[in-house]
Amino acid sequence: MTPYVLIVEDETSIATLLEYNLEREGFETALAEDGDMAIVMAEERVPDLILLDWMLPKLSGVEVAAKTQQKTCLSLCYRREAKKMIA
Amino acid sequence: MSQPLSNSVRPNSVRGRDGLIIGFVMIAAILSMAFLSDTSAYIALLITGLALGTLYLYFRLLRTKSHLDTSDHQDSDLGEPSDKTLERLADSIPRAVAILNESGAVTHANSAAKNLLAPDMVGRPAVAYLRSSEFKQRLDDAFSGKDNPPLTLHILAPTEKVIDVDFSKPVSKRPVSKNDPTQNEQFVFAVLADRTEANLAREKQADFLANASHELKTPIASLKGYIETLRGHAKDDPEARDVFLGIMQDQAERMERLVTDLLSLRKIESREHITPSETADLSKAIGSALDILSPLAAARKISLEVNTSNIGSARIFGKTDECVQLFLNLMENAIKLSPLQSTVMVSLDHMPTWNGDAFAKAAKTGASTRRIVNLPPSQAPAWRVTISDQGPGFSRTHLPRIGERFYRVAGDLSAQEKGTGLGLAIVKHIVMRHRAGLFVQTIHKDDHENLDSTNKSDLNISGSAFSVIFIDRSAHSSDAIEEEE
Repeated sequence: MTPYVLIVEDETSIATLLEYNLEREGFETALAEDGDMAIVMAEERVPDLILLDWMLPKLSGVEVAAKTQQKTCLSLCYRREAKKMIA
Repeated sequence: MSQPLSNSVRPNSVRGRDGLIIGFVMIAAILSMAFLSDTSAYIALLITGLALGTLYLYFRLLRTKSHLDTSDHQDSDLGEPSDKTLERLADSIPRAVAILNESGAVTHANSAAKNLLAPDMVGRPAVAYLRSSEFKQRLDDAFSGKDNPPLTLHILAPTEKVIDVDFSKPVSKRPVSKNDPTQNEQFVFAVLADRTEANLAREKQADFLANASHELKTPIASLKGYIETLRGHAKDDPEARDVFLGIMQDQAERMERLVTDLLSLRKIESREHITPSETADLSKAIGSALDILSPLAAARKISLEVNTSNIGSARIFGKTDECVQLFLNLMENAIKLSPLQSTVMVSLDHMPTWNGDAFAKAAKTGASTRRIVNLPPSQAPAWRVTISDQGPGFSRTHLPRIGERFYRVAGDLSAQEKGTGLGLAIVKHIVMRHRAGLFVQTIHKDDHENLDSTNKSDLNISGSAFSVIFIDRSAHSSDAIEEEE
């Protein structure tokens, strides 16, 4: 079964890049441009992995991670706070 | 009150005077000897002279003793200063100075030190005001005569302060009397410097650099990613290559905009203290900004309504290119924040006097206002430029931070629509350079829903309005500017 990755990123250039490369590697991907959309999409279909930006419109990455209770979230940001989120 | 320190040199003068008197008596005696031939008269005169000299020296010694026992106003001949001399010395130094004893108590503080720390600090332990374990250690080092570099203390209460402390070498004071219990006590001078403002400026600078670097990281990461992809997965994918090259160009332009804004901000800040001496026409500046933004407004189906009340020219002392940039940034923000097919209004009007109220209807409509750059009321006439939109408005949490560098209020805009985060900071600095005022009135979409129907008629939708007030300096030339922080 193809692994399903939900990309949560409002920066279109980064999202397009991730989508293209992941699909070429054989992953199935979906894109959410803000926190609210990410919650809805994660509920509709539980992803195997969420690639999550920290600074998002509407809901922040931390809030999305807390609400989805997803064990496999990877932060897409550079900030120190992200370590807490992954932990 | 500080007193002159000239008293400290008095003992030396007294010694000089004594020498003169003794010399005068000796010369008088020698001259008398030359004129007197009678031996008995000569001996009598010699005895009288010796008796007078002995009496004089006796009274002089008595006076010196009395000075040592009772005086607290003069330095002694022993070379050590008195309490009062130390205090006068501390008071005469144009910096905050406290005198501390070996137990760390403040025995004296000049007015600058009292202003900096506490008016009632004398008699209390210094550590009560300079709360730090290192302070006590460094004070001990100062008393033991060790080299003591300045100590920087971060004080959190009652108000946050950063204070540099420099310690002097230990000083002994002259005992007040023979029975003075403090006669072997030593003191150090603690020279205090308030570094709070400088520290804040340094932190701001560091934040600014961190934010600027962070803003550049995203487009750089994006460009690197695309280059790697074009060399890897997209190597033989011409369709993807075209799309990716377009994205890469956007990212490069984004970096260019950021660098341009950073340079603009730097340029305006460096000239902020110089009020422009040339004249600029506000009508023309508004027109130029409108010309540049018409395509963006058309693309977003936003109508730009301009109301300049048939004003021909509106001349101010100002730089035309900076005024164009000011209106351009405000209008671009308004267009970006407006919903599709809404209206952005730009108006210019002349006020006979500036009464300090940029938005007369604010209280009535329930809108929030903020003075981003305050301009005190003036009898002088003024020009008012108002740019208003029908966007979501700014929430009360955003309002105090409008104009901060890299603070974005457009939280719901996509990354592509977001600006560099410097637009309103540039606006603020242009306004300050022009000794003008900048005010914002806003009603957030959530607040608007809570308004009753009567008030809604005054401001029938959410939105924001920025007003820039330029004093018409052709009539009055001295008006102060004051930035609200």
